[in-house]
Amino acid sequence: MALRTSYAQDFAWFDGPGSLARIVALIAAAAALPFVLGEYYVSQLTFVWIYAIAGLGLMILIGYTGLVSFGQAAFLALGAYAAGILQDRGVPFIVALPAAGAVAAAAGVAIAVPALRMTGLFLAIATLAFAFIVNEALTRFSGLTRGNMGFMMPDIVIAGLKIDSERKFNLLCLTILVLCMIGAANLLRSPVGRAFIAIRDSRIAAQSMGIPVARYQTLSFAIGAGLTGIAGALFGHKLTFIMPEQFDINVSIEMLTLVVVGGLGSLHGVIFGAAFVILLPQLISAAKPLLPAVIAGQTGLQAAVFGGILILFIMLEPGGLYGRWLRMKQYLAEFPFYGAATFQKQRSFLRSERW
Amino acid sequence: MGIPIKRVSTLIWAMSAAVAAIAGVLLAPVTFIHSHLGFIGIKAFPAAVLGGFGSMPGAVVGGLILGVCESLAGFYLPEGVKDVTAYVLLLAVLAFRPQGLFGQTAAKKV
Repeated sequence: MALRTSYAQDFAWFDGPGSLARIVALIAAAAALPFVLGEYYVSQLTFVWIYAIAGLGLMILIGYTGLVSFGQAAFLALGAYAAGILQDRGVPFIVALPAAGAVAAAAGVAIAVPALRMTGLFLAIATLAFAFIVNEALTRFSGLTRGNMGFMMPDIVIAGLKIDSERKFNLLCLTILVLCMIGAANLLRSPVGRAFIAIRDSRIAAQSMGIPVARYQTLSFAIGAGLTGIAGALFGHKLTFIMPEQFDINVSIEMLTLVVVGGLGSLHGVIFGAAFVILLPQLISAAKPLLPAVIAGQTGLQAAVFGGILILFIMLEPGGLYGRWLRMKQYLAEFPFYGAATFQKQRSFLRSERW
Repeated sequence: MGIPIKRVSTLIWAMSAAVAAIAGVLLAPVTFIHSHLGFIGIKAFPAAVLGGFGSMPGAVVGGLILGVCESLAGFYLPEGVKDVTAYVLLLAVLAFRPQGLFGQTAAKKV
């Protein structure tokens, strides 16, 4: 992180023109990927982009406002079903996508109102309960969602252009991810984002500085849920056939793993985390033939590995993959002079009471 | 004050696991044993919250109320409500009486 000498630099979008050029180059490279990779890998890449959007929502909640949510699966499901049902009724995709976000955001506000007085463990339990209720409701209101029969997502048509190939859909997801990222980056350098961070670092200090904590927490829930809802709509289209049981607690835990492994409190971390969460099952299935049959045959192998990695990251690498990346960059930049004390955090964000 | 924090918190985890294991042993003859049995444990949260955290009689009473409510909901209310009774109850308690039935309101340290 470059040394900052003025507030203008602190508010700036990028650390100088080099940073902007790098980001543009990265986006261009990401857009070129589907033209290079095979069909299967493009499909996995699409999942990475979708998970990154969903993770962005959770990152704003946990990483920036310090509100734990175990209910991301519910927001994802609401987004998917809202988009599917609206498009079934003839609403175009361009309208249905933000509407899916709005439905999920409304649900986020609905859970935020009773959750306002809670923090930490209580909030985690309340959002978990909410996820169960939403899941059961989606199963039971089968007139609308077709319950356990499953819901067939219609094809995406944008202004007459039909998104029928994996490659087109991948580029669509990437576009939406970039837009959401720009929005989130902009939000976090605005007074609203600063208020979120202040609430995360200390609720009481934020309140005594005149931040209306309740209102900002509700807003954070709305934004976090809304982004996850948009991701849900894309997730539904990716799966093409959705059922309530696809949005169970495991999805919420995957999302938590995503933000913790990526690095709490960093937007870059969302991409790292999404790539990790999508790649890990591939690595596990690749490693299966090498493992003894007793271990490889276990049904819970993937869940166990996910849980284990989550615990290890919390214990050993709280900065996540992005924190590790920053350290590597610093090591290379100051090559011969790196010492144990070089990477001392100047600001101890995230170390204060969060949960 | 000379309390070995590490040892005590290890002991607490061990005791908690042992009590949960007793519940598991008692539960096994009633339901089938399967690898997702752990999800029952999630219902321990509503029971504890309903009774009030930090209150042992509360946990017992909370569990009792929860079980009775669930059975009644299964009988009188439409299908599917039974499975979410515990969670609706949990949200209602957290919204209207966060300290639970028997919990004390502890002042928060700044």
